[in-house]
Amino acid sequence: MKDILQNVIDTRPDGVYIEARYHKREQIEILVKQGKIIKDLADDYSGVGIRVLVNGAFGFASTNQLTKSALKKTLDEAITIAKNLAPKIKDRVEYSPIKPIVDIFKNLGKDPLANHSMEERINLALNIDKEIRQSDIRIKGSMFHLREPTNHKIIMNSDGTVAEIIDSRPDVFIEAIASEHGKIMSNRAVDGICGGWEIFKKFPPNEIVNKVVNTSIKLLKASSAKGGKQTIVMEPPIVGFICHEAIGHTVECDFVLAGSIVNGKIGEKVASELVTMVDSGEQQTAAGWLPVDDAGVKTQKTIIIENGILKSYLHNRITAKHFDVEPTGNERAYEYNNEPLIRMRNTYLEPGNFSREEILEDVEFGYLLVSPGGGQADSTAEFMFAVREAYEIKKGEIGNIVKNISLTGNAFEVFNSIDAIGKNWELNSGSDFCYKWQPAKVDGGGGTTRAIATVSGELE
Amino acid sequence: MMVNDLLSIVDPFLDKALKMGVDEIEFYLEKQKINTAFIESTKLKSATANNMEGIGIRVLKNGSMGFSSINSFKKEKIKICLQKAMTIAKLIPSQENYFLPDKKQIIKTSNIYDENIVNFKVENCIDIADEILKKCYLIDSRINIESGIICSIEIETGVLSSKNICISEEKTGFMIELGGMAVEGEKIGSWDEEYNTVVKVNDIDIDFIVEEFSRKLLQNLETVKIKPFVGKAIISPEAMRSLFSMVIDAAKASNIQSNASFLKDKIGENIANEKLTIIDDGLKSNSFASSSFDREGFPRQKCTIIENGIFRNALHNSYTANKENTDSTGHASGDYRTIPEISPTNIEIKSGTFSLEEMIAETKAGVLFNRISASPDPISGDFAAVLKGGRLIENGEIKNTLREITAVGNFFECLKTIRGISKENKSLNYYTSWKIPYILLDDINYIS
Repeated sequence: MKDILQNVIDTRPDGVYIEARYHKREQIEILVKQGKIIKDLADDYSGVGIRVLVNGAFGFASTNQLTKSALKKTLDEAITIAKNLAPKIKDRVEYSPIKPIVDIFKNLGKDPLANHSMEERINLALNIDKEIRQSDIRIKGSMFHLREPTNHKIIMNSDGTVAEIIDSRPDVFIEAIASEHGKIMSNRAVDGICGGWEIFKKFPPNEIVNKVVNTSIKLLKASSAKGGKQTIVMEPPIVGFICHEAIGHTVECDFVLAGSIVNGKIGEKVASELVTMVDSGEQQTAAGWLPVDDAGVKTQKTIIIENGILKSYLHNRITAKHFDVEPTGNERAYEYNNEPLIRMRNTYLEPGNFSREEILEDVEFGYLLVSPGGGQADSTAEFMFAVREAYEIKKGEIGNIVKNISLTGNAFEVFNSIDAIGKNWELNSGSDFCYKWQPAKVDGGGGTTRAIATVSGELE
Repeated sequence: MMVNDLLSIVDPFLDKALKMGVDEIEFYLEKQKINTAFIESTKLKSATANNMEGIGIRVLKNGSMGFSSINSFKKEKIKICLQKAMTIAKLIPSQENYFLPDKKQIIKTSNIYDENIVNFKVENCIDIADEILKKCYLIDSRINIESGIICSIEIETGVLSSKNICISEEKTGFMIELGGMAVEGEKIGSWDEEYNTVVKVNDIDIDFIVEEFSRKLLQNLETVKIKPFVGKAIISPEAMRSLFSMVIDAAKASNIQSNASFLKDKIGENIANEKLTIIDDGLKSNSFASSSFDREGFPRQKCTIIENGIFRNALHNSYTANKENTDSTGHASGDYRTIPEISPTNIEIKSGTFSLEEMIAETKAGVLFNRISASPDPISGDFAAVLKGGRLIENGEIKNTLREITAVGNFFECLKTIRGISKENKSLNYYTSWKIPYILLDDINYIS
């Protein structure tokens, strides 16, 4: 495949910059609900995406035909598009320089998925689903969902990058639905990694079943939270989520140039001095692992906020040129036919000095937020996200579970109110995808963190 | 069976698979051509051309099912894909209800294809993107298009199965989607969007999209903060779509059968105010969301979901229908890369008798919703929604645009407290099409 890609790069016309990216994704997926196998599939998706820069304009085309002639045709199509676009654009696209990468990166984990049979997967799925259903008479619904994409990428460009990446990124969902007296409440646990079957060590299914079953049953009798400004103690998955959703998107430089709230604020204090927030592709076992981005740029550990001061945006080669900085390696494409965009990787808070107990013991009244639901954020850093599992904290003690709790507010105000960050650092929000025209696998986390935010709930 | 060019790709494999011992087999084929121009930071960013094709193969063997997909029409790749599907089917324990539908009479939907789109090129998308940028700038230079897509789509789908289904169809779409915010110095308005998808390129109303988009963005620039209160809600079509998606999810037979829906055992029961009627019409003329047949080759049809507040029909594919010994409603969905799921097509919430003006006039204290940011729980119906660009109503008049305010409640309970439905409605067309009026609700908890 490298030879075919090299051929299309070598035969490009003069004045054409080219990125050629081969991506083969093979995915196995099993979904069991209520004892029935709803999905049992194998998907094979492969092709080449070609992006060119001609006369200061981009053109992108893709093909599933992996031959020299098909790639030549795709290159010609991309060049035609760029030439049509060039007269219409005001500012010519310019790239910041990079050092070419020639390397192979492999991350299939300690226990590669290929070591495990389809039978093993099916038995696991059916057994876990059965365990959920048999756990309690109030459990009326059950789900086990396993997705295992394995990727093979070859990223080449006319700067000389030849980066080959082979990885797998499994994720698992376990859900219980409890029902009593006409009321239905559900709870789910999810996790994802970059690696192999060891996901089940990080996410032991039997333990998780007990947790989701107990939580969904507790939710049947849960009250709503007290609405208004409250002290919140966020566990690592919530910390990762707020870092990604509420702050991270505002510092993606395409968003910055469109006028996000952080535009022009590099060097300014934007958060408590306890806060150092990072986006990095380095963590091998995290779902957002990325050694080289899809434009062929080596990724780096990017310190976004250091001791409360805004230090960096997340860049591709164009925005890096615009701001006269180095590209941060954040340009990612989900599949071969997607054009790369600025996306996050693993986004987290650096650990602090507090123990989790110290963080909780000073809280007179507040909420412990354990696992995130969905959420959205605005260009102004105004955010909203649902919390799937949360508990009252009274006089430093964890109390009753509460339902339908959402956090809202301005993320930078919340980050300014942070007064304690735990030593208990972990990355574990790698279950879900981030969507921005196309999906991207990301991760996030930090240590248990205390702050003040607006909590939705009943009016007092 | 008469097979066309698309289906002839897999036709030789049908008999081969049956000879190899499968009991039933289904091939779903998809071929797409998508041209797109992208706007980013109020500038033309790039343009792309993507040609995609693929096949999903579903096989049944001794009561077990296997599925495999491949994005190629090459014979040797289809052969491997078929073998994979057969291997999976051998490993899966036998279960009741795996089922491929029989051939049924298809009623052809109309006006889903435009020759002009077939001839549409990427440069045409670029020209329209350029026109949008110029129109936005002329309306107000404070408008920032954070991102936008202008996209022409040509799709051909086909189903060939051992149950004598042999059918294919071509359709076209043209989509404009703009998202952004107004910026004035340090002031940044909240993000908003406007979009539409049509079948025929000449049906797209660029002026309307640009004007609506600009109106929303500029309205969000000046906002005030208010104290918490309990009051009425007039919910816009955009916000209604987010909330009613939960009701449509609850009406999917797959969710009802897995006990994940408040509509379980509620067929024939009153679940909403009698003013509420919701239908889904998969055959609606001139809609990109329409087709003559679903993902399994089953005929699309009109389906009443809620009629005068009574839950009438769940949405079925053939698997869920077979479990209840009933007929599919033609709602099998998904692309060639997945086993058929269930999705709506053209949802219409029937308009009422109130005018929007009357709704506002009778509201002493409340909020006119614009857009909501929410992750409601589709199983319990609980929601906490941040209102974006919500407008305060006091003594029957619209006052200020509100800075972020949160509304809290349970939407399934709200269905019974609908006070009024407007005559006016708006079409929100994407891969699913919605036609939605404004709805007036009582006693919503607002938290500032």
